[in-house]
Amino acid sequence: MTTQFNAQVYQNAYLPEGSQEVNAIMTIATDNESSGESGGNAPIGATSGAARVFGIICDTSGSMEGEKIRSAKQAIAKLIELLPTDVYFFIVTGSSTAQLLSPLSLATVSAKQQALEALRGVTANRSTTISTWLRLALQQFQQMPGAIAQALLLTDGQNDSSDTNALNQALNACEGQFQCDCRGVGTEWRVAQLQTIAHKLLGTADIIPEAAAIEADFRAILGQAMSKQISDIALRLWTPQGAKVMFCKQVSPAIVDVTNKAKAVSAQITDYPTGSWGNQESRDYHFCIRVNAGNVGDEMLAGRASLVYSQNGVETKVAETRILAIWTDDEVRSAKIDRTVAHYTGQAELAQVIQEGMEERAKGNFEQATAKLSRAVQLSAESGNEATMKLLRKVVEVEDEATGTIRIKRDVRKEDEMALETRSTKTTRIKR
Amino acid sequence: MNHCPACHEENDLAARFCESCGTALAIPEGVAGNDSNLPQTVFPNCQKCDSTDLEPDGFCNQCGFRNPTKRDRFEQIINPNFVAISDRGIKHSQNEDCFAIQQLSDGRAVLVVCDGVSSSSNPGIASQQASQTACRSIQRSLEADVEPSQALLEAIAAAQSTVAKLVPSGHGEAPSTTIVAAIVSPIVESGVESPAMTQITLGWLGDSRAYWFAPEASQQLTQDHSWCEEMVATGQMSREEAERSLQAHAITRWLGADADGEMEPTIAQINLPLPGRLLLCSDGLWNYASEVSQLQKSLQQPEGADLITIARKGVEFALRCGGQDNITIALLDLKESPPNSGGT
Ligand SMILES: [Zn+2]
Repeated sequence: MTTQFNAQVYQNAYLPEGSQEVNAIMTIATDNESSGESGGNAPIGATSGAARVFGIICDTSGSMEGEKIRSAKQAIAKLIELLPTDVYFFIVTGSSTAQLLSPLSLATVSAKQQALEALRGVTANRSTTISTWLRLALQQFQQMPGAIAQALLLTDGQNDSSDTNALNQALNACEGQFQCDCRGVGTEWRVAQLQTIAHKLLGTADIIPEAAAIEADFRAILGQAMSKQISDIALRLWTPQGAKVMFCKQVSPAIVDVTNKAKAVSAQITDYPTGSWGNQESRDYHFCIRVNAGNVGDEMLAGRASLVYSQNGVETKVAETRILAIWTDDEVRSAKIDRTVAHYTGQAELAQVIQEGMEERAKGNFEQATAKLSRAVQLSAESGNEATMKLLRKVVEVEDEATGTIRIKRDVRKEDEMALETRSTKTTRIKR
Repeated sequence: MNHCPACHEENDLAARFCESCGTALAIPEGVAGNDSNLPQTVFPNCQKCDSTDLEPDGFCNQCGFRNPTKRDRFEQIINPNFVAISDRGIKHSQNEDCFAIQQLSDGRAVLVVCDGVSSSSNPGIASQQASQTACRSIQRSLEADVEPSQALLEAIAAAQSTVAKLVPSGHGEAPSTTIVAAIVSPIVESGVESPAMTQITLGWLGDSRAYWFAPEASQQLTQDHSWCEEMVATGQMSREEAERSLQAHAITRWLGADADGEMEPTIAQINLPLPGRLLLCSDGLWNYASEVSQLQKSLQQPEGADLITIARKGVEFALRCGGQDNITIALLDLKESPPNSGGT
């Protein structure tokens, strides 16, 4: 399999005299999903013959009892059936401790049979200590270094408060070892907690309000995981001496601030992990770089962004693009904001005002909450983010989208609140 | 530091000319628009941080600043009486001007200066393609005995079709450029070349200009296609009024995909007494010397200097005045007597 990477930078390189902040959006697409604009980099192939390991981590604490555990077991059984036979898999069930329900094995017919048998005996009891689940999953993944390592984690409740430190340590140990998509079933789990785990393990976090929907969600996750062709890809950024990266954010398909994931390669080169990539995948990143100011007429290479991966111990760099800064006294030029940069700046603000608005609302500060969510309605209308608008409408009564005239609903279902919180970071692409 | 080869003064790294004696520092041997060559930097060291780790396109791998390349400053010397120079200036990050000059075997001379429109995308490519295309076209036409004015019309049409095919980058406007082209021919009467007169045929679009400098006869040979000139020409405003407008110098005709069919070039032919000096230049020069006499003065220093030195001094003059725009100067000295114009 060959994965082709295409990258493109969108920015207004012109800066007014004295200005030091450079903003640019880098769009990266694999295969034929490239943006196709002129000036893009020639695609460069990455081939992968790496093995795949898919880990299933399922909460079996007491709170799961009843429909949740029944649905989860059903969904996992379906996943086992669907696993391609060239994939390795394992199942960890977790409560106050973790059990290895099905050890790492190739997904052969007999291995699947054994796993299904073991699954039948699963019951729900005791508390939730996610650190132990992750540690056990890590052990399984470590048996196959170099594989494309992915997991899904399902839980329905908060992690035991005594496990907080242990969870952080476990996350540090697991970081970079495997990716993990996290799902919360029902409404008793904590959004921030699951988001922390997903962020650390380069996965997504989402809500499954009704247990019956677990199966469909799991199938989607498996489909995504099986499409991955190449793992451990880093976004590499070169910056000139004296420059500082103010932030690096993934802005599509969702906003993920990866600034604090920076790994220094050298004084001027930083890597940001992006995990594994599949074919037909595209992600956009926003760089904000502070550079030394130039004189009018100066032009500067403010950054060189590329993707880097290792194959057979050889480091390969693909899809290099340039971020420029040109100082001008032509105010018409420097005042323009690039459409793509403006779009994603708006999407980031949208996610932020939703977060803040929901916090104010939870505190009972309805006036502040109204102001924030009104702005959110305006921003989603402007950018055509219909998915977010739909979620907002469950929490606020919208009278006029354009002006952001809204009324906060007092009676909102918990699952709608949580859905808005978990999904507010999802962005739309700019219409070209 | 940048060492002056003439007076050994140590100049600031960013200096293009010696602070002490005015000698141009580290002049590249660039040839106009030889696009098969990778651009190379003019200086071996970064002008900002002194690093030698430079990319071929001028970017410094240490501090990131782009250093001048041979596209940013280049000159050509056809012979001691026929030279051209183009320079990025100070306030523009790239040189979007270009020139092409050519001496034909029959003694006729061709000069083309183009000034890429900054607000369009890839203006530097537009001016390069336009000047080269026009110059080649003129040469071919003249060699096929086409009349100079017809040769200019065809050359500008060829340049237009080349530039119109250029693809804008991103969401930018179509690449576009001005053009001024001149053909200098001896005047032949009854089979004999006139020793005292020369014929200059000009074609242009936009505000790149041609001037003639001669004792008592200096004059501007072209009339800009600019908002200001149009207001004056149509009698809608006095020159003083028009000059005060913000859009006074906005050009009204150009080459490019967005140039409409009404943007026809102006063609002019004039016989002039020898000797004289023909100048083609972009507005990066004439903006600082709107009076003909002022411009002439800026291109006479130092006395007795060779023509390339005079051209370099002209660039230096514009840089000293602020270097707001790219500066391009093509100069042809025409002397009395020798049968071939632009002679040796
Ligand atoms: Zn440097």
